[in-house]
Amino acid sequence: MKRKAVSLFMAIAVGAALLAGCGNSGAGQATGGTAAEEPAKEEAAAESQAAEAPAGESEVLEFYHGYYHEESEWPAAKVMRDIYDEFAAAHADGPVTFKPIPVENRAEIVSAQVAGGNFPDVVDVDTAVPQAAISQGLVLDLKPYIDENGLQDAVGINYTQNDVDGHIYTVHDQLESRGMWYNAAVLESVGVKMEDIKTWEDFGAAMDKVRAAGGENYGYVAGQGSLMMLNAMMAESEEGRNLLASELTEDTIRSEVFADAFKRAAAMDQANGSGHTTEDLGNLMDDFNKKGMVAALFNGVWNASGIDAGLAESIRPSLFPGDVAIASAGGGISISSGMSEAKTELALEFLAYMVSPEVQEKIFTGVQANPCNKTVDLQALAQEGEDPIVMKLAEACSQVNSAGTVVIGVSYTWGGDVGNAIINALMECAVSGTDIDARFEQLQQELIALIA
Amino acid sequence: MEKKKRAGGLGWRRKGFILAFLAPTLTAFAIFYLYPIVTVIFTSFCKWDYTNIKTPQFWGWDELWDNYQYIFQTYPYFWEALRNSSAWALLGAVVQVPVATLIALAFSRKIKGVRTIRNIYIIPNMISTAAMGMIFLQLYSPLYGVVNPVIRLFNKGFDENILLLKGPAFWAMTCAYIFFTGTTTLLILGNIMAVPEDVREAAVLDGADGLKQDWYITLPMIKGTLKTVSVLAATSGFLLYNEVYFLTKGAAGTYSISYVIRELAITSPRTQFGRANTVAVVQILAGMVIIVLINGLYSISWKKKKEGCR
Amino acid sequence: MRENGKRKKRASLSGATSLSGGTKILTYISLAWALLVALMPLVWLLLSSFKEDPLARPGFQLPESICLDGYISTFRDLHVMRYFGNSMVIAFVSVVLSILMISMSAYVVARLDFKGKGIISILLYSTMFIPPTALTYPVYNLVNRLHIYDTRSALILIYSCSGIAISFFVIKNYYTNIPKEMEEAARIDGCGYVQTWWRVIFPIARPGIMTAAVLAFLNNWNEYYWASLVMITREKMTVPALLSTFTTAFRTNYNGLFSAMVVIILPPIILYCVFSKFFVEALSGGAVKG
Repeated sequence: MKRKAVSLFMAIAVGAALLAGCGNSGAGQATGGTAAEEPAKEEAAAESQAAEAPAGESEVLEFYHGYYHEESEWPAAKVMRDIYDEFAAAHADGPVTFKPIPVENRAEIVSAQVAGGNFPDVVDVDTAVPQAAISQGLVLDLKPYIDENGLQDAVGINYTQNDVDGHIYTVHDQLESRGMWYNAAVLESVGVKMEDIKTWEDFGAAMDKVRAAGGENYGYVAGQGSLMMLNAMMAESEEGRNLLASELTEDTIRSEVFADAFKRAAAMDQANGSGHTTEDLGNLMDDFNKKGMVAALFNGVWNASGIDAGLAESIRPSLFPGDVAIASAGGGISISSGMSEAKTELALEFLAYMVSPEVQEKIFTGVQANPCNKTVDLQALAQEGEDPIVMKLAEACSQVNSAGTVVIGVSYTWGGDVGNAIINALMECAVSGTDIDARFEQLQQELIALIA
Repeated sequence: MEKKKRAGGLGWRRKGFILAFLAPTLTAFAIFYLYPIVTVIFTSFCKWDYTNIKTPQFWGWDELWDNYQYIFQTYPYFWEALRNSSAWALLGAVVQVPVATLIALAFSRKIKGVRTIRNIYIIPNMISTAAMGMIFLQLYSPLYGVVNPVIRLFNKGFDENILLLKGPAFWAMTCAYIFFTGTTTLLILGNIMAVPEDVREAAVLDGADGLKQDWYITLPMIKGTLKTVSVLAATSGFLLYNEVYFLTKGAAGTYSISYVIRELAITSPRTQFGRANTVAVVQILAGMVIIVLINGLYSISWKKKKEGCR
Repeated sequence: MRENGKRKKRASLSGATSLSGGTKILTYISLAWALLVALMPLVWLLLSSFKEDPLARPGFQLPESICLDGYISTFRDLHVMRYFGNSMVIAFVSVVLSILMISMSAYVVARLDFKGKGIISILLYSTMFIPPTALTYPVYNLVNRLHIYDTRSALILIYSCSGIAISFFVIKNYYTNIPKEMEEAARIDGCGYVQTWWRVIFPIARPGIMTAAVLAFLNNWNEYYWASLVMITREKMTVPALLSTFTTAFRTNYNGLFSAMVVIILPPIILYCVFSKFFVEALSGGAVKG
């Protein structure tokens, strides 16, 4: 018995030693959670309120972004960090210093802060600025600054898409641009030329031919992509475009355009088969990019970087049938409205820096994303580099930027929960024998309830 | 008798001891859980969404049940989620616990190599549920998974995605977690090993051996643990989240209560905290029901068993 | 161990009845099942981690050639040891704190009668069902107010407090099984309350306490939600952050992801194998008899 007690005591002693070793702030707080302010303060220097407290010293402007990945895993993340660091270096001696902080869970961090009535100094928001932050007045309106400094072209599509009743709360330095990617070789093997696919009927007929040919090849990757299909189908009519650009209402849900787009997409998905349906494109992307066994993929321009070198000849970007592209600015740089003048000034300067041509060019060539600045000549840039991926990217980007119709992604205007509900409904329709009309009626009920 | 003596002579010491030993846990509970619990319950009667995120607004007595009405009558996924979560809770108690018990009994016997198997068996439980979700997503993939080829042995030409079939999707998801009973088995095994030797010896004298001994002697001895692990298994079944997130995102009728709460509070751009907390209240109440039911079941079944023994 | 040996002897003594045969068969079926269930995901994971492109050569196919890129980048570029160190310290300290505190309160609830006992049980049970979304804001706020945002202490505080229900019921259950005589004997020897607990009850319940500790450790080891919420400095991040680096907005490096998953579970496996002796084998026989 005694020996046991001793060994137990030892275990606890080791624990205590470790506890002491984990940093001077560890012990006090973890046990009681009190009287630990002193040592904690140094460590909490990163925390915004603490940073503002000491007067006289230089202020710190914190910037949360999501490019935390190691360079070996995602080189683009390093490019973005370098862009941020360069700005920080340029202002290292100023009255306000700039501190970029990579974080993994931006959406949650921002929403937790907003729930407490705070907002990060500057943040590159994930998907969208929470409505709650705007309605509390926590976010700075960027429109006056953009107008005064003539940055309308530099922020590009942000200027219109992110306009909320005459205010702009976020500017994304890169656009989420989506179109089609075709494998011309697969199409040609069944006698279809990709240039001939002009309407969704043509597209459907081409997919039928691919299926009829049998073998390993299949039409397209459905699921997440099917929402883009519905998105693009709705963009064909004036009415549909208006519905896409505004919030989801019961009228939208009951509209003919929406019903028509859903049913056409669902019918195509069902013919395509549930075996080729996934809620995350990433699961089947390689079938298209590396194995070359899929005729078409709905994906963003960034897909350029995933294409296998051996298939570079046959895989080419295109617009959605009907000369349609989906381009969403989405959430980007947002600035807190409750900062000192000096900090606000630097934050705005950072915004101008991010949309400046020099940085925008780096975003295109280094990050391989579609930059928001309209004045950047992508083709010319691509020619300079002669990197085949960048060339393909440039082709995709310029197609999107010059498309006859450009619409926003539905998830941005209608909400992620609505987008998810539609994807789920489409995926269920992909199972052969599913009654599409019945499923659509059910979806209508779901959506009406969701927005209630 | 002894109790009375304590209460009389050492009353203050006893009280002090009880308080001192309870204090840390109760403090942790108070700072960590008490406020959220009160908030959850109170705000389930409030209008609280993106328009008034800082100031939840009480619905007033006339509209007291507004959120509940929305969740029960309008919200499309609630009943489906409640049904699924309850089913998973039930399966946890009636499938996971018996399986875990059988395996724990097997582990308690002295057979060559049993220790190795025992150590291997717990490993899947060290992998986070998120990672397990990703692994099973690959196993279920209709093109590359291992499940579809097996189905094709019986049903030639089957090429559907089982995660999109109503019915099979539920079971596919169940199979993705239910057989990994490592921790449950560990808890039961620990207790089996603690059954005093002399009790077993007595059983052998009575001629009880193997299964019989397990059934009449070992299991009744560890019924407390069985009850605890039943509650834990049912609870984790009821709270299933990661599997839903990684495998279906709720498609094909696989919503769960936890998933619904997150959808309302986080995924929805309308940040519906009030309504999410209404579901949370249902979750807390359902949890209580689970615990009461399991407690009840165990006390009834053991009473019967005791009578049967005599 | 000892008693198992005896039982085996007894089985042969009483002659292999049909029952022992049934027991034997059932035992082997159970063991085979356990092995199958556990190995399926493990083998799959291990195989996939050696494949250059796990999606291109899916399922249980053997890899074409063994690709160690994922392991190499995990160890070379990703500072694995730093993550391990962070997780170890955080998980270990919080386990010690929470288990110590809970083994105290569980003892009181299990062995002494007092008013409000029932309520305490109910309150603790209820914590299991509070969704993390409801906890997020209050806890985040608390962490900020204590000025421990972005420190390891924040995670230690959170982990010590979360999961108290499970540990509580596991440990309490072990206490309940301890015969009353043990305590009485101690008290006759002149032990006070604290001494009785520390000298007699705590050691006897050690297997239960260790089991609860293992469970808590595993939970903390894999915890990602709170870690990503209250920690922003990458140098302080815990192990699950290893996985997120392989998933970017556009693609997932599955080879790297699976390799990292294998690496992540190694420390708990080693720890478990070392410590399992203490809480499964050591307790049979000796412990309860004192």
